[in-house]
Amino acid sequence: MDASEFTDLIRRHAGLIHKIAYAYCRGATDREDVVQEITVQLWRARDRYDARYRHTTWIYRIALNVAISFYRRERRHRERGLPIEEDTLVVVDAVESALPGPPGEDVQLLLRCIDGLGVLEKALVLLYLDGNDHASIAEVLGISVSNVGTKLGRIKQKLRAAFEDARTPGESHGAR
Amino acid sequence: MELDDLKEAWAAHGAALERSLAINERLLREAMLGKVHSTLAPYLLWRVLEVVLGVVGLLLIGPVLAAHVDEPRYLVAGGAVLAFTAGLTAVCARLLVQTAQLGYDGPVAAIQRAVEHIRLAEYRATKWAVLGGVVIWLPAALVLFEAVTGIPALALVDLPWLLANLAFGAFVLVLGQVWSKRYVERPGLDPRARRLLDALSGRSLRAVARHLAELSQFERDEPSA
Repeated sequence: MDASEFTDLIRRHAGLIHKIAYAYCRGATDREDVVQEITVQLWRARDRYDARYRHTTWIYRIALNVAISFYRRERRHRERGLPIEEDTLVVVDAVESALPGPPGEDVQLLLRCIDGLGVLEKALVLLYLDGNDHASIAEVLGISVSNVGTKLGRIKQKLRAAFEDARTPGESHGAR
Repeated sequence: MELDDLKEAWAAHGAALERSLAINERLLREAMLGKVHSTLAPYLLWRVLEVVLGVVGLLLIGPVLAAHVDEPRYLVAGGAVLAFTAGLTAVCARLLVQTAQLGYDGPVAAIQRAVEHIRLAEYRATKWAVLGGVVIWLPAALVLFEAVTGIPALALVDLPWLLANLAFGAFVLVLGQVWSKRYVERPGLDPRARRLLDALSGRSLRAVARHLAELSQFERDEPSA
């Protein structure tokens, strides 16, 4: 894949990359870092691109792997109580102001509820929400198609309960 | 509300993000020119430094041991230092290769498992580097001193004093394990102390093991409900 093909591909799928970064990272600076790391890893992996798979499968795999690894590393840092650097706070404000505003109420509710899922369950939900079929989801995650169906059914049940909880506070089922 | 009811809202959210946060053209250019470094770069550099230091250590220790191959003190104490340094260097080299070869374009479950295995090896290496270092620091210092100055320091120290130091090191090792388990949950610790305590007490290892178990469960085919 040459540079212009790569640039076109990334431009076409920028939304996919941003959505994944948004789903795994709370702070705007973290999201910028994840988007940057995804871009770097995509560029480095361009020669390994396997034409048997669709471009989106390749991008999803790299974006999810980078975002999950970043999320797990940041969570460990937060649990250890590492201080937030002052310049981070300034950049967060600057970048947040570039966002189109907070997402709609439904999306906020969705993000809150999927935060209660495991990192791979969350990946499965994101792939499903983007309209991928079970076979494509299985290909990205590396699990069987039947497993995707079973897991998705269970996650939907969990989320249904979590949505109900969120809309009627007081009772608790929880996404987990 | 159902998950399927949110597909439209999610697509609209993605479109809004794409409009306002199109991929930064400068970032793209710099990534393609290799000017933007991966967040793994400092980690890899650190590992390279560890391997280089380990190899230098082996090159210094080896000739000293070879010169005293018939002396039991050198064979036991110096041999332990050599084995410890060789072991740690090998682990660091392996971690370096595994991290450098990690391709994020593989299936998510498999790559995440590989990442966690690297973390597991890293935490184990940290734990044993610290605990082992507490025990063998004195013979290591004496052998390195001889390598640099030519003075046979290990042969000159009293054997009871050397043994007493090794025993004290072993005592500190046990104490360190007990102390780290006792204070690992204490809030407000310095981040570096927290990292060390997590590694020594096994808390980091347990967290990785939990995540690996979650990954295995995720990958396992389950009968539909």
